[in-house]
Amino acid sequence: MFSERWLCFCCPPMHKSPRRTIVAPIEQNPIQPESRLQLQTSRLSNRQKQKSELHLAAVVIIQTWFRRRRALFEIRRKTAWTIYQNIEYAGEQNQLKLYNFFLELMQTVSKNPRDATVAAKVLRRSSSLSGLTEELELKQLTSPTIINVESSYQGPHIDKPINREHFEALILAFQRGELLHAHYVLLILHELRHILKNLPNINIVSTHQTTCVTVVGDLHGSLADLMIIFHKNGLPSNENPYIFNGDIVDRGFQSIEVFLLISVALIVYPNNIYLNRGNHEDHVLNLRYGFMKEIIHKYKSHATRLLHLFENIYSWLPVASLIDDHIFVTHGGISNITDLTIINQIKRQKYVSVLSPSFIIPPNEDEFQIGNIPNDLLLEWRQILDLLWSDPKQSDGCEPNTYRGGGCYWGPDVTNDILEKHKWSLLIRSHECKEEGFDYTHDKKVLTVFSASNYYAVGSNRGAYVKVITNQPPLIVQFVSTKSSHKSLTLWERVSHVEEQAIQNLLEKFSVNQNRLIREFAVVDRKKTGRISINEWCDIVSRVLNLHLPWRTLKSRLVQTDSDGSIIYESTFRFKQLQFTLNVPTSERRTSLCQAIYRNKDLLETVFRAIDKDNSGVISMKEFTDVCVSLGHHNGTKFDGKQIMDLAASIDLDKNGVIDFNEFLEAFRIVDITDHFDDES
Amino acid sequence: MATSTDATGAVPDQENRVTLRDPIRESEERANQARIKRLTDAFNVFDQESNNTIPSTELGTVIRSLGLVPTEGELQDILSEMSDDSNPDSIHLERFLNVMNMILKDRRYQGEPESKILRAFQVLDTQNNGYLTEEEFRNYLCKEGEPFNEEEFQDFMTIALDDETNHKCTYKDFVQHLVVEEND
Repeated sequence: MFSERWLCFCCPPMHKSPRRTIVAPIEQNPIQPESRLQLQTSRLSNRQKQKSELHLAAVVIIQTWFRRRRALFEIRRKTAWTIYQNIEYAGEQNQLKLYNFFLELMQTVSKNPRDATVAAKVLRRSSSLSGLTEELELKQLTSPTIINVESSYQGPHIDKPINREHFEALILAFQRGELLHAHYVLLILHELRHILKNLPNINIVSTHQTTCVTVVGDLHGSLADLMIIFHKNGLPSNENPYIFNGDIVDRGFQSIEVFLLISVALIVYPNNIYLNRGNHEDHVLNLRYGFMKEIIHKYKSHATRLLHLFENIYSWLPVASLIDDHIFVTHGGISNITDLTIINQIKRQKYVSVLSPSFIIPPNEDEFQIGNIPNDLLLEWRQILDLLWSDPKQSDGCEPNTYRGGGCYWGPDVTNDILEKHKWSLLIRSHECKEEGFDYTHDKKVLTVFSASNYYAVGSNRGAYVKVITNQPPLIVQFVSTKSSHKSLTLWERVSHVEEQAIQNLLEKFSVNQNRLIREFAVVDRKKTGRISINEWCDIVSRVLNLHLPWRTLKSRLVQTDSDGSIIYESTFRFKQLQFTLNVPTSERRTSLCQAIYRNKDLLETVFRAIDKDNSGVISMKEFTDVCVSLGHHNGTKFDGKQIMDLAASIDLDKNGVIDFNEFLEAFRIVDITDHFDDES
Repeated sequence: MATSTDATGAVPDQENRVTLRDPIRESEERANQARIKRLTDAFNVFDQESNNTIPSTELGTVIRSLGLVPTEGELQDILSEMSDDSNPDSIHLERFLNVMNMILKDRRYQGEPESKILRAFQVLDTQNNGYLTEEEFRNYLCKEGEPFNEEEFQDFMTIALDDETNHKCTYKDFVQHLVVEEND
């Protein structure tokens, strides 16, 4: 499948050679040992013939058995990958469903006014953190001069004009784990914003002078991967241009450092560094996927200011780049309506959040009619949404999620059409994690590049970047960031690591769904033998967790089987347990509630944070209960308002009618059960 | 599932007519269902788009994951039975199930017992040392039979060698590595 050559400048053992087809290699002539022997043995004596036959048979036996061993590992790796992708996919589906749910709430006359209030609060927050659109207001709120740099500050100092020395100093400082002072962060961000405002929607990139440009995919806050790229490919400069294709922030733990380095590179070399907006350059996603948390944690009282500025800067990021008029680079992809002439005319700064732009959210609670939005505005929105959110699919056609969903799935026919319409030869995009860090599809017309290695777990995937060179096919370079060991992991080690993490994730999900699973198991196990068939176990687990995985293949690592092949279903819960800090006796109802809360932890956290306008980490008890109950309506979980208040009270977190939701959520934890399952006979 | 039966194994149906159960046929049918499920699960791991096809290049891995031990040549044969001329790069679930079900039923490609694999190493160990060196392996495994590519060879050497420094493989222990049964 991947027959492009690719070079890996410093780690030969790690790069995969082109995938084998199962035709025997051409260097050796025949495939069957027998026919080969026919050629050779005709010239040998009988005894020699026998020896030769035996020898060849021996070689083939060893090769065959080794290949089988290796294949079993491949399957384990593939299965682990499937687990991660499924969990990620399910999480994203949840997120999208949540926003659709809130939008629907707003549209109908809600029977429950409380739900509508929560929805309104969340949505208004999602359209813009503060509604700041005035240039002056923004400058006043986020001016660096508001913040003083204390004399005790030991980190790097940045002053204008920002230059190469500052860039290199920041690299060193961040590698040492230092934090850049908020004053300088604001300074840099304002400089960046000033440049971004003058850029067109689509960056025009030419390799005429430099002969090449490097395209980097999703980094997701991975400073380690950015450092490897700079190490292998050289620091950005006027002779070494870069395009960063979005999703710089979220998920990883050094999002702000990565963003700052790229910003400074752009400030120092504004004609040779290009940024494309990704779907995670959106404060609505930052709520859930970690960037907001990171900023609040690192910058505390200054966090709100920084977040306001980020929100505004995102809206000024270009949405795509065009290299030499024939290679289109954008974060997500395209759809059947993608049209550059239309995109060029959009006022991109309107889209503070691409997922949830302000024109669909009313300024106050009363009016809301999505039907009133003019069609061309909706189509315009789709143009941008599709660029940032779409994914390719193998079959023809174009399936939109919904406008409020997240882009399209587009097929090879759409690729052909759009590429031909614009006279492009290649589409480079990112947005999806790939095991090799890259992937060609649609007859080599679409290239995915993903630059965050070990994205799901250590050993899960390589990262890659693309060197686009004038008049040559793109050159792909793979890499892996290794934190501790300098030795590259063998296939066997890599698979074990990746698999281990994936299995842990599944075991956690079991414990978090314990009551529901036990209930279903009991229904099937009418005779109370403690055992059910493999099929029944797989069915139930698949349904309750809503994860469609190869459970039969996985079961040996997850549960105990009896001698007759049936599953001892209690063993599903022998490794992990959901615990919460309570000093009151637990009832079945309470454990159910706690499990429900933990299952929805991410969603709850997202909504709490959305409501917490001043990022203080604290909301009112009423708001807190409203959110829990409202979310309960969303996914059918019963969150009883009184139960929740009781729970919060018993954890002793209710302080004068407000609750620290971080503390609340942290009270729920999955722990390893150290005692192993006892086999009771 | 439980239905009341009388001593002959006969079961009354809805209208209380009695039909004789055929235990042999029933158990065959159950075995068949179990096989199909096993095959489908293995297939689905590589069915990326959930459209009931897998790339031809993954067939080897899928078949081996079922515990079978075909040579590359045998794989090629199986592939030609399954593949569709109009779409040579992918294999459809239906054809896969048909071919593989027969193969599983006939218990083909089961591979050799451990003793035979040990014997294979002994044949290559012309000096009777009890071990083979990396160089010997490279000569045999990368140049003869159904040769390894570099990546396969590197992975092989990682687990074959006694330890990294001595470049020897005392194959008696190694054979157990190769024959390991994954829990199924």
